[in-house]
Amino acid sequence: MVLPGVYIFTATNCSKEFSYKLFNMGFIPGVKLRVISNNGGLIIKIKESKIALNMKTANGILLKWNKQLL
Amino acid sequence: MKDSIKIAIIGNPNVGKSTIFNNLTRSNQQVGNYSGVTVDKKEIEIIYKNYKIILVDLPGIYSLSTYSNDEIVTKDFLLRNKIDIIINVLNANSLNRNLYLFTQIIELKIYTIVVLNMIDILESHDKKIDITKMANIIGYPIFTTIANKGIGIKNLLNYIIKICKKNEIEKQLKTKAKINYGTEISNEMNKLNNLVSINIKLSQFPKTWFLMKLLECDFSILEFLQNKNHEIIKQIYASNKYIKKKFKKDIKTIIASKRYCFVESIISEIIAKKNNNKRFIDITEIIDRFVLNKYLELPIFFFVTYFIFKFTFSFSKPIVFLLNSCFKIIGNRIPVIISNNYLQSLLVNGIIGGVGSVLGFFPIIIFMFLAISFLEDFGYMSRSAFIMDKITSKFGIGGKSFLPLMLSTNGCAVPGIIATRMLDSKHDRFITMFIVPYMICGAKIPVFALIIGAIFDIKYQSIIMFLMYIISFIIALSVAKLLSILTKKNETIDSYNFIIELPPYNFPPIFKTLLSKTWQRSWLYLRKASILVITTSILTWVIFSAPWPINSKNNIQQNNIANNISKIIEPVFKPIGMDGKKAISLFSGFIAKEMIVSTLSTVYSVEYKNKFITLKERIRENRDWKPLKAITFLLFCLIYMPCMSTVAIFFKEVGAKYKWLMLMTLGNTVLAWIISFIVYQIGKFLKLGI
Repeated sequence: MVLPGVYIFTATNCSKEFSYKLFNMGFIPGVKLRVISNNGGLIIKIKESKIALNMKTANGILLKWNKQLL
Repeated sequence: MKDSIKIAIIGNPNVGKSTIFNNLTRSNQQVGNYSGVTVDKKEIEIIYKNYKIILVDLPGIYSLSTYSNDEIVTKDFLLRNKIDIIINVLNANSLNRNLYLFTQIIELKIYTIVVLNMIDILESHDKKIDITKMANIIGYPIFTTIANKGIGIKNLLNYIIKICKKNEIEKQLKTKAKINYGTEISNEMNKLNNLVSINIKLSQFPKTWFLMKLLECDFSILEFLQNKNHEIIKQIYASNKYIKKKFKKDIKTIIASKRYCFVESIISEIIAKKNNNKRFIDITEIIDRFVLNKYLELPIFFFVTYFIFKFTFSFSKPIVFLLNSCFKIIGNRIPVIISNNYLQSLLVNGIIGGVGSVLGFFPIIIFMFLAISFLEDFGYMSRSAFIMDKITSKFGIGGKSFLPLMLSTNGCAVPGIIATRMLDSKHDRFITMFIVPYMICGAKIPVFALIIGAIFDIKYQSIIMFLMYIISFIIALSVAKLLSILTKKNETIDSYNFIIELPPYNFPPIFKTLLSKTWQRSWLYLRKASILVITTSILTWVIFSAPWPINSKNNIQQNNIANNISKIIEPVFKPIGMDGKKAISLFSGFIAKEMIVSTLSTVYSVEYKNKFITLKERIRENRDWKPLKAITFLLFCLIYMPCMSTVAIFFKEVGAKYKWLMLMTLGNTVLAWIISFIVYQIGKFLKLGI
């Protein structure tokens, strides 16, 4: 369960095509993102944009919790 | 000096490209505060200061690759056409990601004008962009606009003419900023360039862009090279292998990182906070705390939907009454002025009855369009797609399918079917195309408003209309589930993935955007309906008033073409509680759904000879219309075959496959009959509404 907070995006576990779409939307390994809420889907802020992902997509992205960024 | 300029408008989804396009061309392309509204290119030619300007509005994209349909449309258009100028529209509030696309556009070597849109929202967040500094860094002209208020658009058009007069287009391309991809990537680019430059066909592509796409192993480029350029393909794989070994990352990640580094270096220089101490209240965050709350999101969604109907019916009621009174007065005056019985009947029962019965509901349509247009521009649509994804995914389609369904509700099934092009998954696209016609579109509204208004008490009308919308969704989702099981997902792109950008909430300008958009949609509806309604009203009047057999002189009410047809078809419709007359009105619905109302009007007005009574009153007085029969009639209308324009666009979009055409027309009619039969027979058995 991903809790609200600041994370570092590390990798995707989706199909190649979908990973590329995420990539173009700013999901590049090492990028910081803020999980705003988790309500059965994730609402995150990445590169000044607010993005909503369903659980399937959220499960396909690997995030690293970073205490220093809090 | 050129006399013709071709301009392409490009940008991320939902940055205001179509609004700028509409402002520049004074046209009425559909716009909305959610991504995917434009799914195909739109081209309009204008004459400005003696220049012929061809403007092309392209679908919103995140990159110039070939992942989605939108990207393919945009990329193909840019490469296959001679474009003089690109207008790259950026959302000033989200420069980081918007400039990422810009880094790819500049590699196309086409004159580019950067437009920073929604600058007012940025300023309201207490931020400021140093435009002069930004223009100096990137080396491209920059304009600021507030497109939904029409601010800054004229400057843009004047600038285009100015640069064309000075022939500055060629000059600009020589002095622009370049992205530093690093020594290793540059070396690999050079190796590839040596192979590409000797190939005349390949050297025609913009050099840097093409080399980047080769290194990124872009699907379509590799497909293009397949079996033709073994040396280049070998080099691509060698470069990828080398970079991966050297940096422990794949080449795409490194290229994207370099582009984002370039973007961040620009942003750090140009954005300043006006007042660091001032605390900024983010309205979007506050609203989203409730709208996207785990427990509140669905109740709020249903409340918003119900509110649309309450608003529509409450506000339109006095105008509908006024309009119907006008038709009543005109209808009753005609027998006084015209003495010829046939002409009287044609005018009263045919034309005024038919046209009046449909146009009488026009205020309802205007208020419905107004409410939904507000939600579209306010920014709620993307959120509702996200909320609905939790439900739709259980039925085999993603939440994005909800947007074409809403487009259909907000007007017509035809744009709804076209909008399915925004869906990445072919599977979702097909199913969504199939279920879009189940929605209560603008043409079905008069049918539902008429029957519900005539049969049910005023207290329950909004709630029954709301329930009919819920039923239309339940039917659509059930059919989606069935089709999902039958067609089984077998795709490389996983269609259960759902990602959508949530735009900031924005109160749309009332006159410039909201009312003008509502009027454009309503006018389109009125124009289409009025021609069809007049023609079919006359035709229906003829079949109900012309004697048949021809020699039968007495009792035309019994011996006319329609009655003879209705006698033949009645046995099929009797088990679902319909007589032949109602069945005939359903047949006319194949031309357009509004025709059901105009046909019903003629059917019942003929019985009243030349006395004009509104259709609602006639249905109310008719003993054959009971709540149960009304509900089964509406259910049948909801499900049976769509109108011919919807069928035609569906047939085209599914690739002219006859089996799907048969399923859409015959299959849906059989399904409509079965569901109506079950409901009618159960209702009759339980003695409900009879």
